[in-house]
Amino acid sequence: MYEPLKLNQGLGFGGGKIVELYMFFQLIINGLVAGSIYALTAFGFTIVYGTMRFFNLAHGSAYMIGAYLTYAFLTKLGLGLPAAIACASVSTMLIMLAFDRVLFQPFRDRHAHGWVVAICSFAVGLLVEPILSLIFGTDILSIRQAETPIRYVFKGIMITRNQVVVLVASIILMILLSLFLKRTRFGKAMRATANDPEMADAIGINVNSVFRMSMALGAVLAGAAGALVSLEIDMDPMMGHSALLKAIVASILGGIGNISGAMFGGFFLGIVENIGIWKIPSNWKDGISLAIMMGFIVLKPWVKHHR
Amino acid sequence: MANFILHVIIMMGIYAILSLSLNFMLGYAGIISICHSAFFGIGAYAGALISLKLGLPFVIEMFLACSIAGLCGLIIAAPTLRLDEDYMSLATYAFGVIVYTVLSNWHSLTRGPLGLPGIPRIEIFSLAFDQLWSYACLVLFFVALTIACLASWIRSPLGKLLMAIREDQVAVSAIGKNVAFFKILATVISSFFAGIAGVLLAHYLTFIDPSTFVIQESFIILGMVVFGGMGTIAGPVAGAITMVFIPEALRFIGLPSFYAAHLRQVMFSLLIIMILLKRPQGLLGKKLE
Repeated sequence: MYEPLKLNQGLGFGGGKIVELYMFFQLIINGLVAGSIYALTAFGFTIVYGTMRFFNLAHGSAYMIGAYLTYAFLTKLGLGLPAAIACASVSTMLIMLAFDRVLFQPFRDRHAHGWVVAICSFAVGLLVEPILSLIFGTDILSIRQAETPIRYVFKGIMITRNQVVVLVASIILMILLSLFLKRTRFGKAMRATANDPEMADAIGINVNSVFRMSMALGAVLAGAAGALVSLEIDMDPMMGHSALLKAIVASILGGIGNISGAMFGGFFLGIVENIGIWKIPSNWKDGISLAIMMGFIVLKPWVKHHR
Repeated sequence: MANFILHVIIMMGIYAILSLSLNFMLGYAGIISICHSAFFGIGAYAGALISLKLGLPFVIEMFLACSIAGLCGLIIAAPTLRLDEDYMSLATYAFGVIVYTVLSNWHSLTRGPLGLPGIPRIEIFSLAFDQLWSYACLVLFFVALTIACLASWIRSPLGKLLMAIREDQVAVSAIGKNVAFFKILATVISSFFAGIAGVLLAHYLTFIDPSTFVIQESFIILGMVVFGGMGTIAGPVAGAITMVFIPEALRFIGLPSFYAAHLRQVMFSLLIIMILLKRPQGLLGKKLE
């Protein structure tokens, strides 16, 4: 989903080793920008899994809704960029909360198996896709301006203003949410519920509102990630799939349910992918990140056992 | 019109084999796999390549292709089945995506996104299945074969053991059974039969490309099993019939194709959501206590 910059853009000088080195740093920067988006989506994905113990396969749809709503708010309603991103994230949250109330709530009441809810969330994803295509069409949409974006060049390493916005905004968002989860009463309730829902219920925590809140947080993060990514890439109604895939890989690499791990996994995945593209054709990207994940899943218990 | 009905019957048969085979590991052994599209694809590509490059007779080709699919089942099952349930399912998801990536990028073997054209029609002992009706009979024969094999295995001690594993894994290992071995066996059998569906599809369409085997297809097969009712034989068949029939029936409403394709997806997801909400055991499933 995240195509790297054209690599010759800032590198029209020198040769040999130096270019290699600059290229390396350039790829690290690109990887960090891509990774911040992955980290945001993985953060949301892992929060939902951590409290509710199901894989929210509609997470990619929330991301997609975020991106498309940003487009709608920007071009149809003429809002400014920050306002459009904020409105898109909040609307995504409301939409996902509605889905949660209508679809996921009954499963929670019934204590359904995690994979039943996961299949239902996959069906939600299938539902969102054609609806978005019917509203916005299947053509590729873009909110990037036609003229060359403002960019900063430092010794041949280049970063565009949009990339800075993506990086800074997502890092601020993640710091704020981490603080929220660590410091506030609600964050404590959420962690208690993640640990043991029955016990949390017994000591008077409203478990259901915690579940709803974690769904809301997950949706806001996915929506914000989608909104921010629309600054960088074009949108099409299939973009949710690869976002979901990255969120799964990143949160597994960080240890599913572990928030700081998910963020780390996101950045790691972004950097590895961008450096990988340097040497390997980008078609293999998804397969390689999934192979890393599979190796990780398989080797983890083995490593644990032998330590 | 008659051809159209035969086409629908063939597709129903192929998907019935797929959902029956998934049901064997999901409904009886309780293994959640999200990579059935991968076994389906491996079977289809193996069958197509064997008949295109080696030109072996159909019976041998079918056996070889299914064995390759079964072998891939072994490769994915052996290291992952000891894992925690959620991690295992994710590993199968990863496998599904990896197989899709390989199919669409290994240009020298699979021709990548261009696909494999010109797969010959089936001929068994100089009996050609080149008509739609004869092909439909062949597919129905394989559906019957799948049902007969799986149903008899389910009634045998093996099936009882798998159901016991589904209910309580620890108890089964406590009576001295090798749980991991039987889970692997269930996966291998399941992927073997998914391979049959793949071979049948390849020879029916005479052209395959990787887009048929995307990971979403796995969820659709999973949806068929869940819709029909896991842990039954009639359930997955009913699920496959419904899920193939409804989108095809939509063609007759006369919508423009742009809307029809999207409406199909909407219908599919709404059906799954409704059945999960209103009848969690599936259409023909037994009531869970």
